Amino acid sequence: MKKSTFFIIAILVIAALIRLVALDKFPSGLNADEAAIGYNAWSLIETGKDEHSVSWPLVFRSFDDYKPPMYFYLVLPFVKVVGLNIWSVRLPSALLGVASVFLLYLLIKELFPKDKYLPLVSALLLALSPWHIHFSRGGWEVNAALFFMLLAILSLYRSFTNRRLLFIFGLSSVAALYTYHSARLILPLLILGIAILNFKPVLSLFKLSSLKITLAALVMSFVLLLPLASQLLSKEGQSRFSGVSVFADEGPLWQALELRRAHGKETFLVKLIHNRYLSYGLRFTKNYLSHYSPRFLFVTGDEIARSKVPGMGQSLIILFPFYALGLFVLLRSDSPGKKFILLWFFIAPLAAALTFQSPHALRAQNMSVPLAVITALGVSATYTYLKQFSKIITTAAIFIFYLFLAYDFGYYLHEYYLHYPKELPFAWQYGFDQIAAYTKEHYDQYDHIIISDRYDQPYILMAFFLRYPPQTLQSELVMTPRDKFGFSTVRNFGKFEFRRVDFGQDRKLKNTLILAADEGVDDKSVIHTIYDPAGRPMYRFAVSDVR
Amino acid sequence: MKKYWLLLLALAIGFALRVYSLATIPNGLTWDEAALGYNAYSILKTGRDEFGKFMPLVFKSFGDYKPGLYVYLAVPSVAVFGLNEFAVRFPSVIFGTLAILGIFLLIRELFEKEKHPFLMASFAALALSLSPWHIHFSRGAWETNVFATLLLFGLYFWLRFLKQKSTLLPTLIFACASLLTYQAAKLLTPLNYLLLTLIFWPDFSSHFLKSLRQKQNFIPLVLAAVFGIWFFYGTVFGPAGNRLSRLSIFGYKPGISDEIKKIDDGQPLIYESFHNQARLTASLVVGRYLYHFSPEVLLYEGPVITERGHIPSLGVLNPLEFIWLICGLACLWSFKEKRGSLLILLLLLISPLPASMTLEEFTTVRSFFMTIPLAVISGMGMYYLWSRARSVFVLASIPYLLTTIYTFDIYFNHSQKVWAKEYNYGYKQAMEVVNRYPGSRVIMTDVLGQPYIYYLFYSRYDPALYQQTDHFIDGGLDVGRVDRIGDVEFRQFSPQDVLSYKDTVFVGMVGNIPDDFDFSNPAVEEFRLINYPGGSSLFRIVKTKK
Repeated sequence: MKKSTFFIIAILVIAALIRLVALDKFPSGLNADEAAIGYNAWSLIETGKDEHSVSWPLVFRSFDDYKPPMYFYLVLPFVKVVGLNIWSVRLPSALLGVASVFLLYLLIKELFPKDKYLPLVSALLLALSPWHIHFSRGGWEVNAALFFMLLAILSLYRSFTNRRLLFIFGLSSVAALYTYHSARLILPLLILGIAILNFKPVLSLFKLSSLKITLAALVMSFVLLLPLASQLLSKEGQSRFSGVSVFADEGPLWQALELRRAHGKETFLVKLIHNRYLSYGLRFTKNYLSHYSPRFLFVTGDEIARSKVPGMGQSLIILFPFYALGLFVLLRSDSPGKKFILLWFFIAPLAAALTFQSPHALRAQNMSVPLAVITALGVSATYTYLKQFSKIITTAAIFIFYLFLAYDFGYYLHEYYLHYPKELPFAWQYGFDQIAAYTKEHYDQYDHIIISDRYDQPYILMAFFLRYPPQTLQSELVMTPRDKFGFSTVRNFGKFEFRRVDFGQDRKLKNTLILAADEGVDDKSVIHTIYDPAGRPMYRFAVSDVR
Repeated sequence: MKKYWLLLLALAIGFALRVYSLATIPNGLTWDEAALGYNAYSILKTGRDEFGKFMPLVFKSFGDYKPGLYVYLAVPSVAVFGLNEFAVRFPSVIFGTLAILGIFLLIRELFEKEKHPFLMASFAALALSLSPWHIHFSRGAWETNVFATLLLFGLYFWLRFLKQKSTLLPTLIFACASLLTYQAAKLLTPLNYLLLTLIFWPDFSSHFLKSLRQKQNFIPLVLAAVFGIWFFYGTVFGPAGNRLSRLSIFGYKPGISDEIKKIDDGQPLIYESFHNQARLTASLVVGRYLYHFSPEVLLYEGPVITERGHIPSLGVLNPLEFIWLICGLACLWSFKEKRGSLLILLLLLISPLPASMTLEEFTTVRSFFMTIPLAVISGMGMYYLWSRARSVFVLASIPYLLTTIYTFDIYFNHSQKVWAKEYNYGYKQAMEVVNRYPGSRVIMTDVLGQPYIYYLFYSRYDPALYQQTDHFIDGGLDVGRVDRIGDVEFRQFSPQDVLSYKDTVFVGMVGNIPDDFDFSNPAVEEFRLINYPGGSSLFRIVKTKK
């Protein structure tokens, strides 16, 4: 066995261990999007229709956020085999995460054919990247999309020598676009970039000898993309974007108007510097640049509890010097490989920057790949520099590097497994499996069950954990009007009602079980409490006064 | 002459942006500005500082022991313009403008082997002249700004010396002067000199000892060494030393939160290895260090930045500066001779070190020297595009020009409301009222800090007279205060006190003179309200009848 084969297998084993161990327990809980993916896949298996009674949809309405379909169909066979549970929702993403590590290894080999170590180091750093691990553990569509993007890019590069891979390129590009929103901007830009950087080989794809294959692959892809195009042009398709886009925040507009008013007179110059184009332009620039903040990348990380591990940045802080060095190495851009990585690094956060929350680790997750490669470039440059010294020094330096890396990674694991569930139990909507189990046991004793909607979309979590029959849910389902972010929810099915608990009023209802989150309830009425992983009361079951 | 047009343009723009409306923007004086100004006045009139010490090198001031050079620089300015805001800030304007010349000289010298050193240096000068960070700190009596200019010239002459173009004398003068200007210089000046020496080590090792055989090098070096040893000895063991250690992060032991302790309860080994003090301190230092390179701090309003240290609603640089910075880094890479590029990059990397080791989360004051390498990199970016892709240069310049106008519009036209609080707006207006009643007793609130220095400053109180009083109350590790000057008292008072003293000026805030105070009372001679720009209430002044 070749040395590099041994190393890549070892790296993949590490990647798999990190991504698969106790996947159902960590992150602790199940979030509403994961539940929706699992439940709809199950619904399709059972009835051939999703929760909204659409047969085999190409876009899932879900909470009126119109989710891209691919991840649902990836989950479907897993639900079929292992049943509807947390494992089956999360396993596809985790496995594709491991596969992404391997694809990166192949891609870097393709891009930097002369560098012996860079592919391995890049793969190792992606395997250990907190950013990539985080979104591999959980039913995250974005991580599957990144896998398809890597596959598309790799097969495009390889198709320069093997034309038939164009079909793989076409299929995986289509798959990526059907998996996650931000891929729809990032992947076309990356492909365009590759075409410009490799103008000659791309042009040769259109030579007479290979024109047939190229055209066949292109036509196939375009046909497969037609449904997507019609979705994106529809009203629903656009509403999702307008709900989260940078223009949804009216702050910059008001700021421009206020500054204009402060001038009194509206001269040409005042209008030139205080207008919506400049203020939204600056906001976009700010969003975009915020993803390059070393503070975001190495110190604080994302602010959204679901996307962050306490006390961690998006990367291991010990890698910062190598990242900085890698950036300098990259800026030289003296090889096609470096040019492509630099291009990806600049493109990666574009989709996230178009939305109003920035920096956004989820929407910019594809940045974890160029980040890992840049850091690997820094590591490899350091190694090349050290090689001129005696072997003992080199070995000692490498040993110390791995020691620090292991320590910092150990800290990450410590924070992830021990601190994350206890410090941020609400991040993954912990406790609904227990809530479902308790209500199932006592379902017949009550006429009416109220579940607090303090945290996102409780109906789908209850449907998931109760295995509520899809036929029944389809017939009972009524969506509320959309809120200001464009989301809707379901207020009731069966005996359940999902809304804010007002215990003063609700206690007067007849024979009702009430689940309160942080809403106040009378301690005397509480019959069962659910504790968070740190042992603090999280949910309380109370009963109404009239039995 | 044609060669010089860009440099002259940079100097002209730079000076204009630094001196325009200097007295009123920012609208007020910081405590330090008032103290520097009054001590300069005191030196001018009596040759002694406010404590009666003859020509000190370090001024005790509020007990924070200010390095003294700025005071002496302000003396001629106060002599010419009188004791006012303009005079206090003017030396900073001059040094800020000189920095534009300094950066030009340094870059021309550093990259003299490249194709267009003159043009590169001119672009660097232009970038510095337009740097909002540099302009802001040139528009106030900021010692750090004078320090940066002195260090810049010091490094320039040290480079000239290493290239055997100059004697040791000028660089030693600048180095010693920089030590006398600013606290952080004790770390930054030696560090920067060391850096330059290491990068040009072959020149240094072959030339340094030989040059000492000449008298004109040897004698100044001995004098400077004596001065340096005396100075460092004084700061480490003198009264200023404990302030240094108090501000350092290494004395800060916040402890691990109870929540974390509870989570790791029962696993002492894991707890000790992942949540120990060393890790916590290291992560604080690294975190602070990295803030200095974060776009949210440099280019737009970040979450951890004090209002005094940046442009309200913006960062410390032009929001589009990153265009030039990226091109500039690429340009530095493209040079065959790497020593100049290395120097600029390392200057950038070491400048925030002292700021990273202080307790305050983020301050643009202590890391101010970063403006120099940043301006060099920006200037290189401009030069790079100008010489390689003129059309891209024009394309990038249009939005950059627009955001430049935007930035300075925000700075000069929209920032006064924010700065009013940061620059102690209102003391001047209150003192104008107080000064109208020279014989009366005055009782003034001390909530906003150090009112006595504003009283001295705005009443042009006779320094000789003031030196005879001794009301300074030592604040221990914190700054001290003065509670009275003659009939003027600085303390809190209650609404009831107001009418119980006759012929007294009361200067208070809403807690001292509440909204429902009866101004129609026959005992009240004059009543004045002083509000912040924008309307919110600041001082209320009541003068009672005899």
